[in-house]
Amino acid sequence: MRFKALHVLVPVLLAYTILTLYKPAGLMAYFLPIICWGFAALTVLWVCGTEKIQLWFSKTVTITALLTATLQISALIFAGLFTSFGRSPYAFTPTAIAINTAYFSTPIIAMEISRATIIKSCPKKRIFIGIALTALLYTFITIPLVRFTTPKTPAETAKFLGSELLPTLAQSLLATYLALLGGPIASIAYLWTLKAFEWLSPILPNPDWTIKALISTLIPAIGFISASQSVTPFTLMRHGIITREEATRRFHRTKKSTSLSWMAIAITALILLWGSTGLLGFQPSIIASGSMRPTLEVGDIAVTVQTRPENIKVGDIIQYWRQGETAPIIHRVIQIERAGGITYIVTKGDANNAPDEPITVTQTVGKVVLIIPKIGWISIALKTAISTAASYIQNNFAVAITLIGLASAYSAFRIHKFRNQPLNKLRRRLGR
Amino acid sequence: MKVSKGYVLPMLLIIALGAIGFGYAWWTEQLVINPGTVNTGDLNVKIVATGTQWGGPGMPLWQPLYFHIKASNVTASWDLSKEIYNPPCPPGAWAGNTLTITIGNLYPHGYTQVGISFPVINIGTIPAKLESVVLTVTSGSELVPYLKYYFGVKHYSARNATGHRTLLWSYFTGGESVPFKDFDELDDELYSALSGRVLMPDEVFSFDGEEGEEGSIGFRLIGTTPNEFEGKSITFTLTFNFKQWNA
Repeated sequence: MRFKALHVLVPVLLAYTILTLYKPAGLMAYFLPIICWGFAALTVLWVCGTEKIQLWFSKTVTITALLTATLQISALIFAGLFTSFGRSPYAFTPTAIAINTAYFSTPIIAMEISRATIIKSCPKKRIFIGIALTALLYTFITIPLVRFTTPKTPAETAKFLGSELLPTLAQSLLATYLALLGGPIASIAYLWTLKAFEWLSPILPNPDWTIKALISTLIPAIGFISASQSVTPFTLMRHGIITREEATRRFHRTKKSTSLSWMAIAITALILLWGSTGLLGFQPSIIASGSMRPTLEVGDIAVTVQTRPENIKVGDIIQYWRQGETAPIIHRVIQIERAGGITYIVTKGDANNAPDEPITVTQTVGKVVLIIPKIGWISIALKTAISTAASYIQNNFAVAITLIGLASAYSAFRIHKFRNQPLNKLRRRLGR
Repeated sequence: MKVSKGYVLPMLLIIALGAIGFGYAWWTEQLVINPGTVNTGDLNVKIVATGTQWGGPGMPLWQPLYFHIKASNVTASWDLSKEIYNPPCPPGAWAGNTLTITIGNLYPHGYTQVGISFPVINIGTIPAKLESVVLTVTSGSELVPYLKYYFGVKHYSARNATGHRTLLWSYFTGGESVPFKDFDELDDELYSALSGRVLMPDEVFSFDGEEGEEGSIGFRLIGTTPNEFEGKSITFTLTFNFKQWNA
């Protein structure tokens, strides 16, 4: 079986090496990869055998794979709604569509059949190491070598890791897991759907790389959990994912939604975290002063969306930075002037008597599009409580240390008592 | 059978959500659909901010002249008056497909000349061709009638086994011996020069020549520029949009 794994790996590595070393010009730039990967696909199919693929096939896992891919595409489109879309760079003539489909399909077929054969031949005891190493191997085969070898600044390296390496690794991990549970058809269903959208859709979402990275890493993680949920605990046990005891425990467990609940909490927390930093294209800000009364009250949350300068009009409420200020200002635009090629914006708080100093468009953050009343009070109250506690500790250090010490001692006593409780009960029952 | 039925509804919902979002993106005028093409993993042509640039002859040494290159997330800036004869070369960095260029503190008497050098590399896996070049003046547009340009570009092959590239083709609008051309024609000429070329994976369109040589873009403020423009600056963006080449 392991010998077979080597046999399916050789054609894939051969195709990869030929295409890395030899870069043909003209139409051969398309046909050589199709020929190489097509040959690799046929070879691995011959080595693996169609009966095996049919045997490994799992309808549930394949549907989960399709769902995950659809969810990932939907999330990207949703992100595009808040940022931007762009035209696809690919050609859409019937010939181009046919060539492109062959171009992106052949490597997926070759790699996924070989991936499934390799992961299926992995010893059960070392299945997690097997998944990790297989995912790593196929990540390096998927990303062109030139992306690794070009010198980069630390910022560019971070961008490469976040936008290319990590998402590709996440997708490769999921594909390996899907191949283990549902054979190559499941992993092909996931990766092919993603590629088909990228190559065949005339308009593509074009969010920032940070959002793309978040979606392309988070959704495969969700897919990983969903794939585990889609099969029975005994299937997971058969593949070496969980032990027999764990499988029995899971089989008898009535509450099935524990991991789903954690997943929902994790996603919500991530979205809140990313949303609050402005990385998702909008930025919530808590109103801390009454200069915009009655439109904005203290404690309201104003959601700002990045806006092009030419779309800012008189009457809009905008967020901007003023030099020397530690927090951005949210005021209403009352005048827009253009002088010497520079556009100046004059703002004023609704409750203020005088306008502010003019600002340039480069200082603006965006336009306020949504006001959520009073929610910000939670954050204000928390901040006040934390700062009060911090200042109390600073001023009464000795008292605070004593209180913390007493609380720790009490907790330790309770834990000790709780741990010994079953033993004490048993002793009482035995009359000792 | 029972399980697959359970999946049908959420799958349909997700597809519907995607379709609604996509339809909305297609039809609405409110939504931002960039005129340019999207870079993908397989079709990816990037400008590399190398940081090599020069200030031309005739520029008084005492005249402070600054020059900025800002390409998407990568920002590099140099004070040419200090570094012109000993230019630092920051490590190459992938940028987007847009260069933001600011030429500042221009001096109308005599002539002021600056140049910018950068390569455009196909780091994708499929051949690309230029779809459009977009020149947008973001500030200082009153200087446009007095600003001239020339450029030269070289097309290099992919690296061979020893890491060397071969010059495949070059184009030059002219330098000292040929009059500089009107600034607002820059995008049209860049497009007409490069649109017939196919940029294969790892190949380069290089604007990286020395001053006055083929392979750079030079800008000059003509000597007849009125005095009131002294010290003014102009900022503009150059966007290179590429699409798939399919013969």
